[in-house]
Amino acid sequence: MAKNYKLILLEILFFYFLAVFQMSFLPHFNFFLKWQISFNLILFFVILINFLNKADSFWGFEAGFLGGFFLDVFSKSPLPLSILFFLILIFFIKKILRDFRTTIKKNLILFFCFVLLFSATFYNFFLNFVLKL
Amino acid sequence: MTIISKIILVILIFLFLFSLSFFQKHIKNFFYSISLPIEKFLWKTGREIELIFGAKKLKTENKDLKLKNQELLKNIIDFQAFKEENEILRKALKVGLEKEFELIFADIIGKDIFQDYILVDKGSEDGISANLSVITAEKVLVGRIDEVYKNFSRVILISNSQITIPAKILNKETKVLVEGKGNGQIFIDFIPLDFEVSKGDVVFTSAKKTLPKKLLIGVLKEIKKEDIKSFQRAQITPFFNISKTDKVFIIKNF
Repeated sequence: MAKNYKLILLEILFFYFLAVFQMSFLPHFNFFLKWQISFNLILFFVILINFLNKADSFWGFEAGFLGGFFLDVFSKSPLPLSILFFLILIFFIKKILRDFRTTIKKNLILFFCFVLLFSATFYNFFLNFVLKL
Repeated sequence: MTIISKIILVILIFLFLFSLSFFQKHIKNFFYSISLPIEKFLWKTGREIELIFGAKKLKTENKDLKLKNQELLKNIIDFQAFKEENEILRKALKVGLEKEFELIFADIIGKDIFQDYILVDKGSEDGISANLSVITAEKVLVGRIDEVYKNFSRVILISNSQITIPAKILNKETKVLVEGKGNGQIFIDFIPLDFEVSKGDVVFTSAKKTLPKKLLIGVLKEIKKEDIKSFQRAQITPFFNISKTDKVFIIKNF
């Protein structure tokens, strides 16, 4: 139990510093902006943590909550928009990982890249859509 | 866990998440306050590293700039004439930037990942309110205050797709509408076909209730004329470069 608390505390610190780093340091190095691509390290790590955790466990959802929370705090998106986006995304990632375990295991990296690209694009569209409402 | 208890759990989670939206100003302000020193440090470090890496890029840029130099000389002569005229007028009227506007000085401490927002270290406690214009020391329009927190404010840049600014082109009579297109890009979409504009023309703001007139916006970069359409479209190179700017002014009154 104490181990779990320590892990969550570490995740809180990790995502907090990641969000500050993403907001204050990375904007200077956004080389791909002309192709409408921007770094979203939080999204990357949330997906990575979920790929590293077991698909049947609840671990991974806390990363989605914390990542979404700090992304909302330090970016334009209103609370709890990114949290909801990440939690729904994780729900589907876990479901797909559970249902297509054997197929995905063979092409895990490829599937990871696909999920990352898809969710990053969808997140941008989703955020722009909600902000325009 | 039964289905009903699962549903109740999901509803409770959703209620908790939506309750966050009621406290978001306080939450955001709290985190901005505790992160201020780290954000300032990272912003400055990032800028310094950017400058180091930028040195290599400068060599290639230098070559291109030499080629463009001659073309720009003509513009410089024109600008010089305007500058002299402007300086004479300023001296005559004894009007400085601080006399034209009531200004609040602010530091940039962060930039949104989607690039069209910045965060400044002045908030409602410093007398900032929404929709105030943000400029640089050179009287270049940066954006307007979008959201105000206790000690911080979020500035929406003129390149943001939600921004439209009434503007004029130097030495031209017709008013135009400058529109942000996101990712640092600004355009004028509807310039009448018979309206003659050329590359290098200076664009500045025209009067509006919340926006002072004659704030610099940028220069025309590319003009697209299509016979099928009844309008021409021009891309603007903004005068401000947010990654090279640390300090801005917020116009409180004008």
